[in-house]
Amino acid sequence: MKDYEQDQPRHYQADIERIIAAIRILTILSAAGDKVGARDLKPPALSVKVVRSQLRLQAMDFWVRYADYLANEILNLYEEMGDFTRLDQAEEMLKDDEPDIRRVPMMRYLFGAYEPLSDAIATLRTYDLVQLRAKPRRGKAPQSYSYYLMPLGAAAAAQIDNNEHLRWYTRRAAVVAEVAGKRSGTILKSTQHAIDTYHNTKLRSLIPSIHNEVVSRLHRLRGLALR
Amino acid sequence: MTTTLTSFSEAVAQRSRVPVATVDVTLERFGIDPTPAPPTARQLRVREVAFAGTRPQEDKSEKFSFDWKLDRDGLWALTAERNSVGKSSVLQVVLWALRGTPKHLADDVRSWLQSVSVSFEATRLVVVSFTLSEGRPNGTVSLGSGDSITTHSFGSDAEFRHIMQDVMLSSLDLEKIPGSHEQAPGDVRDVEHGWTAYTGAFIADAHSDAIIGQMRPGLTPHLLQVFLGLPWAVTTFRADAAVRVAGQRLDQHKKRLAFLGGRSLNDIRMQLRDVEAKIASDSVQESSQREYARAQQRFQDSLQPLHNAHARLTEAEEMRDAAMSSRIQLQRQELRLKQGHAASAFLWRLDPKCCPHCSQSIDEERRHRESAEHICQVCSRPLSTGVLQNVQEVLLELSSAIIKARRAEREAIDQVDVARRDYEAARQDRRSLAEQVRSLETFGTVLDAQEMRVERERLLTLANAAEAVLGELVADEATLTILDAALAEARSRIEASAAPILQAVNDEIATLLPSIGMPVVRVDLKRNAHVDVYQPGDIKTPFGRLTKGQQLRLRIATVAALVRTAKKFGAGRHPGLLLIDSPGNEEMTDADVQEILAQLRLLTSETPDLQILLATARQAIVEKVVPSERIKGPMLGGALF
Repeated sequence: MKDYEQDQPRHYQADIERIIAAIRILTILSAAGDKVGARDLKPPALSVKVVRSQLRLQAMDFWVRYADYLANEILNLYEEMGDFTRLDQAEEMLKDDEPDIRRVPMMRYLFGAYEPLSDAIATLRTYDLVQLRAKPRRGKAPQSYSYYLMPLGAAAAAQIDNNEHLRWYTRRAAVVAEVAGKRSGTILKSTQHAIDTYHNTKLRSLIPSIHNEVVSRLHRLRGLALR
Repeated sequence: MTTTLTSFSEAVAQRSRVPVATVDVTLERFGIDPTPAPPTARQLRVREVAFAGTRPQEDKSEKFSFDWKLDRDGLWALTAERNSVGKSSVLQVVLWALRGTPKHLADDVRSWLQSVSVSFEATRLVVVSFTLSEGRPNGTVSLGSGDSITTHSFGSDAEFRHIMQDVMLSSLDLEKIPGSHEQAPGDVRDVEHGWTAYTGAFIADAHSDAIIGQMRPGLTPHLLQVFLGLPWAVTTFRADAAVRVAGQRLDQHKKRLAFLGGRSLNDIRMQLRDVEAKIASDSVQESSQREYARAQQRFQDSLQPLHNAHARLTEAEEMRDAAMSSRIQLQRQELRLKQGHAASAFLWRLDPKCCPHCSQSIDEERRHRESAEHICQVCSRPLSTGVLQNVQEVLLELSSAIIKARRAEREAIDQVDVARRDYEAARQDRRSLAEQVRSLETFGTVLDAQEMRVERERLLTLANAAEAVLGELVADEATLTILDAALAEARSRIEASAAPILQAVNDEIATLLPSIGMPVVRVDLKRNAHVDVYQPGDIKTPFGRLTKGQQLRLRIATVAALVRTAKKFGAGRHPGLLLIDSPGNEEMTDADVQEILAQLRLLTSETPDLQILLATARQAIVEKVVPSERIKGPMLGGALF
């Protein structure tokens, strides 16, 4: 099969990944960010939303990139709450090979799925869409980061929603934000680790798909729901 | 005789629908002798009783002896007022000598005895003499008198018994009484009652059962019929015994047949038919085996096509997966290209605000240089118009490639469907062939040649064994048919001849009974030895309901009647000897005893050929009624010996 991406300039691959990652992160911050408040120490002036943990951001990014894992979590919510619309939501997410086509694979690191956000954040920072704040620790690397959505970022996210090729990200980020709710990054990570395929992936290996398993689970739950 | 034989055999042949020759062979085989007329009665008398011995008396032993001569017929009495002085023992010694074996002789008396000598008259003089050493008899039986004396010696109880049986049966012209005995449930044996069985009819005491009343089934009626001298009696006995024995043999064969395979006769016969059918169907089996072999071959042959179909399916599925993967890969590229282009354009339209590294603002000079000189306002390098080249062309190519990929995928999916159908067909084909093989196995046509041979041998063996037993069964059934016919014929003949004789005896008993103190209207003694007495008022009383005294009177009268009838008609065979022990014990008053003694004396005087030996404690009464020379009384001290 011909690789059409190979015909692109040298930095195409890295550039496109960086740009798309920037769009993804922006839409997630826009959808899932909390209002900036008193608990935020020295927030950037005029910042509108904040995600206060890289773990939470990485976990939500994983669900945007892996529709099958997101669908699985939606089925968890169905089992927890018994809301039948969750079944339709999961089914919609799994159809037409979408998880395979839209998957942007991530590597398994020590704490699970991880990808450095620095390039994407730098891109967003250039246009003052997002600002990063580290909680400094004396003589050591920062303990944690907070990701602030700036007013230009909020406006950009709204524009993205009007772009036919990119609006998928605003919509999917909204779903992920709703599914993640107020759960902390640690809790979201432990939820993702509860899936054997995810947890058992070798370090520095791409996390495999669980598409078939989730489709089977959906059918089983549909069968039980119809009884 | 020949005429009778022929006539009996012919009658049996007619009843059983079997040739006379076969009937004769069967009758001879079972010893059924067509003997219509029995020999006439012969007399038996006791002439002398003598014995001696030693008995313990306090600290020492005391010798004793007894001797009693009875030279005539009629009534003789042994009497002593006291009990346990030897009255019964004398009668028991007589019976011992007569039978060759003791009947109810007390053990202590037997141990005291040292020598015994009893003389009988039974056509000829029979002298039984023996000594006893540790209770074992050793002696002789002498027959005849004068110059023609024959002597038989014996040294044991068994020899003594055998000699007396031979001597007395021949002397009195009696024969063994045939019968049958059920040794164990289902085990009927042919037996012959010998001389000792007859002697039961010579004694009336507390233990003995004479010839009427409640007695041993089988033997007692036979004894009565012998003593009545009924024609065909012995023939009937033999036929009866033969039927029982042959019937049992038939049952045993049936059981044996049942034992063969634990099945009924019908099952065996059905199995026989199965055996024959199986054997006859050899050719069918062979063709079935060929069919089975072919089916098995087809089943084996079906494996390779199945493997091939499976391989084709796997290959088609792999191609389908590859086609799908290619299509998805193309779609991913298309998506990334569209998204990348859109994202790039989107960002391009934004104004850079600061350095992403140091966060310093982009100043107006930099902005100006970018628009004027195409120098990037962020990194100061020549500006590129974007990261993507020829986007629309590439997207068109991708779109076309995706369409092709979808088509290829659909074709691959169709190939999978075809391959799956082929595979399912191959599997179904193999399943059908396996089912065919199994069904041929299930219907037993697939036993391999070896198994079939073994089965045939087993069934043949079973069939042969069943046939052998069946053969015996058929023979036994034929034999039993003849024997049943013989028994029926003998019974019909005995019935015809018994009636007048029984009537005569019954009349005689009814005449005699009032003379010994038992008024009756009539007596009904039957061939089976059951007797009913009709007392005044025509009240029917069976033997068992009579008092002990009445039963004794009836027995005495019956023996006397047999003797008298024999004399009149020449048909009875009782030898005319009766030993009566302690009639006083039979719940009779002194007056009764006196009356019966008087009447017995009268009876014996009116009935020649009858000898009665009576033992009683009623000494005073005896002395009033019986002449002193016929009385054996106590010695000094009250004992008889």
